[in-house]
Amino acid sequence: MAVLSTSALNANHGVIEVRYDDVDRAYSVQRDLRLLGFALFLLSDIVLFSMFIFAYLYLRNSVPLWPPVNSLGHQLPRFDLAFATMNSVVLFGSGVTMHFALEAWKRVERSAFFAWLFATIVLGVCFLLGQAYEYHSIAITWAGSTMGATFFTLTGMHGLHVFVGVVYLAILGIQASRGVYTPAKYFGLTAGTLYWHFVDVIWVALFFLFYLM
Amino acid sequence: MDVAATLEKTFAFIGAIVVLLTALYQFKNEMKTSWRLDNILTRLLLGLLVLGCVLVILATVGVIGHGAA
Repeated sequence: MAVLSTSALNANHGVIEVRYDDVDRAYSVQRDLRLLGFALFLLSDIVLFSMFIFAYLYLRNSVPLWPPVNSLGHQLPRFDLAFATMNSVVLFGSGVTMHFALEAWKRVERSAFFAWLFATIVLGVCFLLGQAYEYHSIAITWAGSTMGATFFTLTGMHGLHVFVGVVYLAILGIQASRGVYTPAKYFGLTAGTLYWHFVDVIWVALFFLFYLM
Repeated sequence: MDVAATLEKTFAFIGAIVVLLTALYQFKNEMKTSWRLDNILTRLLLGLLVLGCVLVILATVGVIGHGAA
């Protein structure tokens, strides 16, 4: 609307003139609104994770011993810290590669952008495979204890976010290759980067809660 | 500690230092940008990523976590 209202009909030549600064201003307003919406989406996700984290902390504090004991009276084992640190680094590494991808796009370095984006997707998939391996090798079950229930729920929900993020980044890559984004207009890539950083940061909290506390 | 755990922690320690330094570099560059919402969010999230790397480093050297001395 801002573009149309500031456009002028050039009577001499019979063409519509659209001033580039008006187009840029209209895009800027649209971009800011989208960004605000995306920030609110991230906030709603923080609320979702916070509820589950508080439930975990409540359940953890409601038993005298953590890890709790099973029905046979044996204390459950702790999670594998060594493997978790390695898997965490894989995910954190994907955060910096995604940041490099966005910076490369801003500098109009397309090949570098696709290389960094591909690296991010690969690291995200590696993290998911690591999670799958941990689920397979862990000695607790979802239904067996509050420890298992909270662990699988929270890390599973996070893993779902990572999976969605991997698909999202792949779609962004396809869109970028088809010319949807330009060096001046790339909101989707900014949103993708913010989402991926957010997924990283949620893992920082989960890593601390399950493996360090 | 078994060999696999030692290898995992070594990989995590080296990787976390590399990621930490890279994230700090990105954070420093991000501080030069304008104070728009996306830049502010990026700074905040990169800062928390740095915190995550520090936690991993401390866990691998046994300062925190259940392997702590």
